[in-house]
Amino acid sequence: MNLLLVEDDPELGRQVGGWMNDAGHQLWWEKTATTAQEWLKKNSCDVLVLDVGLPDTNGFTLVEKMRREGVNTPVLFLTARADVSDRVRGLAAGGDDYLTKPFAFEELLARLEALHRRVNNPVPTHRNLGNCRLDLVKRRVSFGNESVELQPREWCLLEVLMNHEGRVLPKKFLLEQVWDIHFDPGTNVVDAMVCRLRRKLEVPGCGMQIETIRGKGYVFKTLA
Amino acid sequence: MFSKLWPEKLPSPWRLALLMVLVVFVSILLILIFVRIAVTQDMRVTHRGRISDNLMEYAVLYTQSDLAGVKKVFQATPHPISRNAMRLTTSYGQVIYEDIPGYMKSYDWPKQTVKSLLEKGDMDLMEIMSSDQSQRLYLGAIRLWDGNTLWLGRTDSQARNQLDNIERHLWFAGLTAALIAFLPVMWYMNDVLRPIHSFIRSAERMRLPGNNTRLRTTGAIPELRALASVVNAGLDQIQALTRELQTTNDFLAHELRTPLARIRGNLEHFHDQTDNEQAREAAARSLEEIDRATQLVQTLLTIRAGDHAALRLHRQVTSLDDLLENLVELFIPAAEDRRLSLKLEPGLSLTLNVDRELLTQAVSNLLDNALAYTRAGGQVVVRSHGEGTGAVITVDDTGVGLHPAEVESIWERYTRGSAARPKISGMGLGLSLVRSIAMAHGGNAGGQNREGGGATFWIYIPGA
Repeated sequence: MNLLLVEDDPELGRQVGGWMNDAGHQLWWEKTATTAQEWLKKNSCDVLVLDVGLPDTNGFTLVEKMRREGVNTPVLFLTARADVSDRVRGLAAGGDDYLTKPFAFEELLARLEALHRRVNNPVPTHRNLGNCRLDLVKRRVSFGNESVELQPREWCLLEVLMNHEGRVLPKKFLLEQVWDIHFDPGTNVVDAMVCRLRRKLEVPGCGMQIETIRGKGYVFKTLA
Repeated sequence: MFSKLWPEKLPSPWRLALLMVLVVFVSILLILIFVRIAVTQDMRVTHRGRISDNLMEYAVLYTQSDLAGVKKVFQATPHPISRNAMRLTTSYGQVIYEDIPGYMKSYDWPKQTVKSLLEKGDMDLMEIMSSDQSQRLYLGAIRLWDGNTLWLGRTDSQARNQLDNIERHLWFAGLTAALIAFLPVMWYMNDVLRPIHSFIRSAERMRLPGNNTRLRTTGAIPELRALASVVNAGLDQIQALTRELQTTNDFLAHELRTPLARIRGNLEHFHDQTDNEQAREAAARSLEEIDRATQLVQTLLTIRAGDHAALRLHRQVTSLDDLLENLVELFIPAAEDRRLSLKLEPGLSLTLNVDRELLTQAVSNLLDNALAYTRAGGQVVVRSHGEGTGAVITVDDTGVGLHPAEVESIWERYTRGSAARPKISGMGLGLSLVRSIAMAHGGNAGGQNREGGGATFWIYIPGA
């Protein structure tokens, strides 16, 4: 992916730059809205990562201006503002996703990949993993002739994990994507749900596995 | 009896109108009484004067042309309202001639005058009442040249007619004045009462968070305008403070979150790169702590804003049933792991205009508490019911319950109930956040022990 990061904090900029290089993505880094606009006039990128509190212009205003000019590049806001009203404002301004600081690197990567995929790739209809078949349209999992009953939320959780295969997804990200909850509800609700899903998929010969990584989150892996 | 006529709830225009009616009525009555006394006195003097004038004239006529002349003149005199009566008696009271209209005969005509008439031209004036006539008979007698006495009588019917006439006009004037007296009532309603009602309506709107209504004073009296400007100045000040609080909250959030993000980034990098198992374990624990600290910053800022009515609500029309159903569904696996039964009791479907996310967070805090303080095998039930245009959400558990002395104190910040076990982590912010959120919606939250064990917590959200 070609990415443009607009971020005035030097330390965060450095970190994101390092990560993206490690992940094999090309990243340009601008520190103000003005220089970012100039860069966008000459170049183009797959996804734009934008801080809201920039020294010159507000990130929301920049996106509004971009959208008026007909630039359709997906935008992810990276911001310290966690209020619902700010999130709504950001999405209304034309942003595509919203991530609050502090954030897990893999969550940022997962979101960027999802934005990139949404634009570029058609959604597959089914997947075969080992002797297990996942029907993505009918939302069903089957092993040979036996099908596993999944609750709608369980399916939703599996789908999110699967869409970001190999990425360690933090609890916060899963709560947002599956339950539309933007805070930590305290009780180990996600852990309990993941355990339940894991138990249901624990069938010999099943080609998938959900792993818990302490301090970081959950990861979906296919056993090749 | 008077207090019944003057109930506490009687609206002030009615009070004023009632007072006005009373004042007008009493003044008309007083005026009538005084006018009647004055007019009656005047009339009496007039009657006496007329009778003595007439007696002198008739006495002169009698001297010149005897009884025949007197009779002729008496009968020729026009009597517009009531005829006069005439009688001629000897000095001993024997009647020589009389011409008395029928209705005047019922009066008890005296044989002798009260004062003895000794000389020619001596006069006596009397007033006679009758039992079957309402009018008063004025009577005068004069001693003539031959010693006989000439009597003249007339009733006061004319005077009474005049008095009635005057009274009629007075009533008319009084009632007109009463109508004019209602002008102050109208003024009061327009310039005093209307602005007060508008104040009440504005004040009601002010209760809603984020509302910057002010008292409006078009057409109000100067005193009310002064009151409104003082109140408005106070409100402006409060609003300015609220805005400042919101700005500092944004600033604080930014200033705390950015360094946390830097630390987290580096720590995560370290976690991923290190080959040392123990170091990675330590980094994982630190990452968890950073996430907890971030949540804490957010919670503290929300409570702080909520306490000062500076919480920005993102209200949306929300189905309460869906909200509760989703939450209960989220908590069920965790409840089952603890061998608890978690149920949503179906109620009427309710729709509220609320900040969906904050209300979800409030209810989720109650569920978090209920799960933490209920022992295995227990039961947690979530209910909701309408209250006016709003709703009450309750979470009942069969847990350890509340210590009676702590029913209120647990809502304070950083206070944890004595039932809180050390292994249950928490800062004691959960319930104060619940209350802050409820209050930011104009509602409230509370909790008490249930009969038969366990506690019940409720959130009341009024309709908006």
